[in-house]
Amino acid sequence: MLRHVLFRLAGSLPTLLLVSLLVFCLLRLMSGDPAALLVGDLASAEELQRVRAQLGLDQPLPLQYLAWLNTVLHGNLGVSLMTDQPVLPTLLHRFGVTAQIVLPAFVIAAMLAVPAGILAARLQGRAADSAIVLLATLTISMPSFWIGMLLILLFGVELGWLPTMGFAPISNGFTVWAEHAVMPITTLALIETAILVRLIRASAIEVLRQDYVDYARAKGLGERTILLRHVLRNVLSPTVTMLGLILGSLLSGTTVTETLFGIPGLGSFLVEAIYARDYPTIQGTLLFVILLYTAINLAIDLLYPLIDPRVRLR
Amino acid sequence: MAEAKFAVAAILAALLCTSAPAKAAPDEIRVAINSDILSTNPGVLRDGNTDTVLYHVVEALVAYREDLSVGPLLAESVELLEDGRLYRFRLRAGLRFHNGAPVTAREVKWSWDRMLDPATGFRCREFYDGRGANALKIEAIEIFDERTVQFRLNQPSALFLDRMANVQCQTAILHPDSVAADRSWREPVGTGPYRVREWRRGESILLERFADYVARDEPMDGLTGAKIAAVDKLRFVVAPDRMSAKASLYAGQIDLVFAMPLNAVAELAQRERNRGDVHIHRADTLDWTVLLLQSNDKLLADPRMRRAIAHAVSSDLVAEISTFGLARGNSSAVQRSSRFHTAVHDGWPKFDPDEARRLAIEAGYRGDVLTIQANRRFAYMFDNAVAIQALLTAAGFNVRIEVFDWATQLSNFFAGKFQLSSFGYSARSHPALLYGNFTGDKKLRATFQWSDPVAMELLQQVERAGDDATMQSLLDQLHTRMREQVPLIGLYNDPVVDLTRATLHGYRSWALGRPRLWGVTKD
Repeated sequence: MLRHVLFRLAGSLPTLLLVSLLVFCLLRLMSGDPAALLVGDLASAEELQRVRAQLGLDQPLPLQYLAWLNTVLHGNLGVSLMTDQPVLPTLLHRFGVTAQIVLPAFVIAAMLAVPAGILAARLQGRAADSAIVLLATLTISMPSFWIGMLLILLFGVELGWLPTMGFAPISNGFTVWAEHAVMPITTLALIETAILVRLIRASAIEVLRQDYVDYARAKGLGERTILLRHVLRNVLSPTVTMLGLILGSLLSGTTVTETLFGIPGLGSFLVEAIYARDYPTIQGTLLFVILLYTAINLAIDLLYPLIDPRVRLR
Repeated sequence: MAEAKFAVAAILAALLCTSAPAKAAPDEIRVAINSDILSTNPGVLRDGNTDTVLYHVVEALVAYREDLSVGPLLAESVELLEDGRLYRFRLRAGLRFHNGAPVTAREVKWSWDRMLDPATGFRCREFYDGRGANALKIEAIEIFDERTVQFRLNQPSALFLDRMANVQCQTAILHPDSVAADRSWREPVGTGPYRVREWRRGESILLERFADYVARDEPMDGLTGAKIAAVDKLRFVVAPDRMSAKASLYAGQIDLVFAMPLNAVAELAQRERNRGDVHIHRADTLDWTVLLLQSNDKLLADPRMRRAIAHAVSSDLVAEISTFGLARGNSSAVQRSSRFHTAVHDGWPKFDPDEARRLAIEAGYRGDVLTIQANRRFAYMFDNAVAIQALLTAAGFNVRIEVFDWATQLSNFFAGKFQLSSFGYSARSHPALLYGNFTGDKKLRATFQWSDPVAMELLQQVERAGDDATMQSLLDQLHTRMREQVPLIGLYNDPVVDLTRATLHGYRSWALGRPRLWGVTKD
């Protein structure tokens, strides 16, 4: 197992290097000058050049890349062009904020979607199935900002139960965290539940049509046993893959939800950096996101043998 | 599953056990800002929100009054000597920095030396080092006595104080404790009515009342006068979405949202009328929206073509469409709220599509595509572009809009890479400073739009204008010349609409478009 993990991690290094180079090149292909954004319409072209030189943007591109790579190898991801702050601590802080919203939403979505999807598949064509599918379709059709805004208007403005925006870390106390987090978590959980329900339902219908399910029924096994022992286990493989992708996507930023609720998370951090052409921040954040995906994919791969004994780690 | 049930139960229990979320407390005013501040280093790492927060914390020798003239702030008096080449500032008695140290001429000189040091990165250094408009340069900063400091200039300047009062530059007088031993920035140890207590990056910045603040005797006036901190704390909360911020204000969790989207004004007015729990505050700002015309372009190099476009574009109509009727057109760089805006400045090629067509044909226009650059970051620039496109199309021009993100459009502006550009100049307190932004030799700076030698000479005379009458005459001449040459087309001065809770008293929007929270009380 450890060998496998180390092998996979080592294997991801060339990918990271390539992706970092690609990100660097793509960013430099984008028009827009960070120095221009810093000085605005206040300064002259000479001042603009001075700021560019100060930021190291007048250096040849290969040198800029190597300088950035050097900072990465020293583990600090460079300094933000906009705020003059080291990128890594800010990035980790922002990631922590996002994780405190995303992880509960993810767990809630998974807990709701798995039973609902399997139930809908089991009762395919009946009223319960139609209701679940209808709810899921409706939820998927609603943009997250709209769901969020409805929650804000109802629970924040009309009822006055919850703070309409902002974030309190869990270290400030569970209650104050929950007050601030419940609406963004609900917004994310609703959307992700709807996506997962549809996926799990489709997988479960497929599994329920397999011969071994008929065989299990013919053997006289109870429906509950069939669902839990045979159907759920076979549905889990594609579900876990999807869960991994969803988790990676959520953890790398939920920009719309963060913007709406004023949450200083990773998504809004990246978007602000893109608007500001803050190259070290964009590059550092994207590198971090790639690492995150690699780690989640690895974790999913390690989970497969536990779910499906036919899968073996090589 | 049991743990999951417990977690859900715990969340619900926690929510049920908590009372309604805390409203903003009476001793704290909460203001929504749409992005975090960039730093606490005034005039160095800055943007509009940074300036707004910091002018509650730091002060300069002089500041803008409500009527946009410049008045003393830390200074007790300002003397002009040696034919306007020497400015002598006498400091008010009893002034203290946030660390308790007295404010003396030494700190004034230290602060200015730091600003003029290239290593500091002060954004407005070129206003004072001979590289800026009219090559104005501070030749020496001298300590006259404990409370008096004087600035020796290379030439008489009527605009020196206006530059010194510039809000974007914030020529803050700071205590040397503001920087570390290696001269890196620590925190602002200034003289303002509030000081920084806590900055939670990405979330909020909390200012607390400075108990030893020495207010001026005159009533509050612009950014000067009596700046009395009426509440103990100001909290600027980062709320990127204006509509969420508005909902927070309705819920009583925010007290002020400034610069609301103009398309929300009708709804806000209805709320103000029906419920009376909010107030709308409106003002015309000094921000000036324009259509830039690239005179290096083959077509637009011909003044007849530029005049043709001016005849086709009605600034009043564009203002009406883009601001929902909140602003009037203004083709002059002299802002509507300026005391120098006279009837002369309302003169402009009149809206006449037939004349536009005639002039365009005369200038050799044969239906070539005219491209307007715009962006959606600043919605008004896009809206202006759409309105202009419609007006130009109606006059027979072939126009398309190219939408970029702001970073790209701004880079194009600096490089002069545009044909037409829907743009906006940020607030300049004095019209001459705005003219200085776009008047000059284009071969030297692509950002200059008007390379007319006569205009440049007039602008130099403005720098030396000794009185308002001379200034008025020069500004009138500048506009008259601009009307003939149409180097750009002025559209309107941006209106600003701020929204407050009805529990906030004494708040006023004003021409600089950014909130001032001293003198504001809360029930």
